[in-house]
Amino acid sequence: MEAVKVILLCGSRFAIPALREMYFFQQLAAVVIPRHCKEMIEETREALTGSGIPVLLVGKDDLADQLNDAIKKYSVNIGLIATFSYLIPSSVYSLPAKGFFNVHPGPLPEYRGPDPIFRQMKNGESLAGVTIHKLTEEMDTGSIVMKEMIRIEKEDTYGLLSAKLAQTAAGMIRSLLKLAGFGMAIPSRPQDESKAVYHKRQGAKDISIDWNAMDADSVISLINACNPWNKGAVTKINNKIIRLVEAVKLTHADTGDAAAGTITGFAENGMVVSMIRGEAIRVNIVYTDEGFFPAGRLGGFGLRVGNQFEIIGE
Amino acid sequence: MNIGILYPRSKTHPGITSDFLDGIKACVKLQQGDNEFTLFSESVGIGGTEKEVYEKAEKLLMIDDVDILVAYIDLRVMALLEPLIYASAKPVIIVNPGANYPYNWVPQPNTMFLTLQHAFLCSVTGTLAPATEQGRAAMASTFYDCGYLHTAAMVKSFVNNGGMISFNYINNQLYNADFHTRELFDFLISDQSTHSLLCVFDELPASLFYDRLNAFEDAANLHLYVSPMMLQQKALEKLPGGFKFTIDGYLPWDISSPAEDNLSFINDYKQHTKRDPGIFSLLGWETGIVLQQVALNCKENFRDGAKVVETLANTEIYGPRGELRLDPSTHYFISPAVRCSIKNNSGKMEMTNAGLLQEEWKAFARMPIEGAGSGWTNTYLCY
Repeated sequence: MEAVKVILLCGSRFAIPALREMYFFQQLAAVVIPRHCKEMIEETREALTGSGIPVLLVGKDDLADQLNDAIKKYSVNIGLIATFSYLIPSSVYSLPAKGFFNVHPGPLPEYRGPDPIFRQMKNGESLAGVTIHKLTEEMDTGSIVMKEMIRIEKEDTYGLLSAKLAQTAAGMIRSLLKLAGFGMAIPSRPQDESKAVYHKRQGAKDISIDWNAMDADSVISLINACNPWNKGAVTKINNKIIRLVEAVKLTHADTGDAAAGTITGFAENGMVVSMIRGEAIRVNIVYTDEGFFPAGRLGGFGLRVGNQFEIIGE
Repeated sequence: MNIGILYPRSKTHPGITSDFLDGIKACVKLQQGDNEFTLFSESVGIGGTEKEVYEKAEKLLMIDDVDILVAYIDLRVMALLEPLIYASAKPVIIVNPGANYPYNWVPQPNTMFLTLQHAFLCSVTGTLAPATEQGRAAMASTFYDCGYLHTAAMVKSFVNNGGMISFNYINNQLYNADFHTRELFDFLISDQSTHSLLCVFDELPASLFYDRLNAFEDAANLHLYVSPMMLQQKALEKLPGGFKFTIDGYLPWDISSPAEDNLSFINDYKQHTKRDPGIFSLLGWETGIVLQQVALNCKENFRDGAKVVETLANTEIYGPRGELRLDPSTHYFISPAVRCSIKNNSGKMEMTNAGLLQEEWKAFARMPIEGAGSGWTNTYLCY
């Protein structure tokens, strides 16, 4: 078994389970984190306390030089990227003898882009995936080495799903590094470009509820996709911005002919809202500038049955 | 059609190699005309040396360029083959006793699993115990057997159905005249409220376990819920006259079934090999049936694993066990189970067809897997 010495480039907690495992198995040579990822820097340093493994902080301008130096200095023979905000120049990613791989938290080629976890959830997918691919100059386009899918459960939030995908990624990286350690050529298959979709980072419109277009399942998918990083999906009522943090679809709710987005009742600490097609949801938790609350308490903010949520921007 | 086969070896089940390979050959030999098969086979030993398994799989898929890979390996080793399986995109049939189950039930699009459903049947067996006893049971297994998830499956379903494990007994002795169950006896004497035993043993230690347990003074009050290998003929060979205790469990296959597909298997296999079939020949024969179905139904795209899986999931397939249904959500073939019961002092195993147990299978394949785990990497029964 050949020694595997990994340089890990990462910017979010998605990399933490794999990082811990590589540290445990003495495979980690160095970790590289963008300077602006303060929380990740702190968490990584904490995880590697006393290990002697260097944590290098980089910016866009000094990335290539720092990587070049580190790969040589620490005798790195394999590179891994797990959610990293900068593109890696080919002069650098061709350096490690066993290759440079990106661990993408989404199935490729269908979910290229910076935040596939959000997109998969928002789109109401039943499965989410992790893909490991060889690095190329263009983002998320390299030949695929491994792809694993997991179920998205009804109760999954963005945070929960991210944690599950991070564990999945750690298992996949374990297999990849074992293979590299055996000295095997790592097989891969080119991506099917006909299925490729690039999803750009979500903007204000993507995280706002469109009461006239989205059905109950779509709204709940969006709410879960925005929890916790955005403190919920965004909507507006009585000129006040409110974020819906948790909601469930009601299977037997009589909302009469109330227009979509209308509050039709307060029950069980929650708030019943009518949806298109006669559907209804019960919002359980909301976030306002004043804090997180059970939705039933919105009555105290002056909201009443019959009030209607608005679409932001209209 | 070129078929690559990674076949197993075992010291304790030395017939596994010939039984499995002959099962495939006997089945595909019946195939005539355009659907001829050429077999390329490589031994992977006990299936526990990951590098060796990888190299053999790589040779078959990349150098011999087989159209379909049949790999008799367990799930832990399969994880390492994922890049190879993905890169080839060819159909891959993973065959094993099914003593483990995956940490992630979502399969690769081109992978299928043909097993004896051991962990699943242990899980169903675990639900029998609390219904008939007071909810307390001792777990009994061996150091080897409990290195697979069938043990966890039985315990988990027992506990989820209101049961409580009062004692864990792991036998770590050689399977010879010194084999004893002293610690278990001590516990049973000290705890008069435990009469149920959840047992997971391979057939040889099972026969020793039954033998020693039969000598236990309170044996008549014991009720054993056992894994499929404990219901194999060799495990029960000291059965004539019966045991003092009652035994319940499930088998994946009733060799005495008068069904036409079963009789055809038994006769053709005997004719081809001059031997009686066993569970490994069954797995080989069923692999042959699946290959035949690929040849029959996927003439244009038999190298496209995802399409083959999709086609087989919509194809009615029958074998010695009855229907072989490819579950589209897990890519496991499921078959009717056989409910087995041996009343105390009866010496006779009563068997009834329990059907496909689809709802139980769905529940089993949705059971969340919690916590870290470890276990043997070799294929169950290859040791």
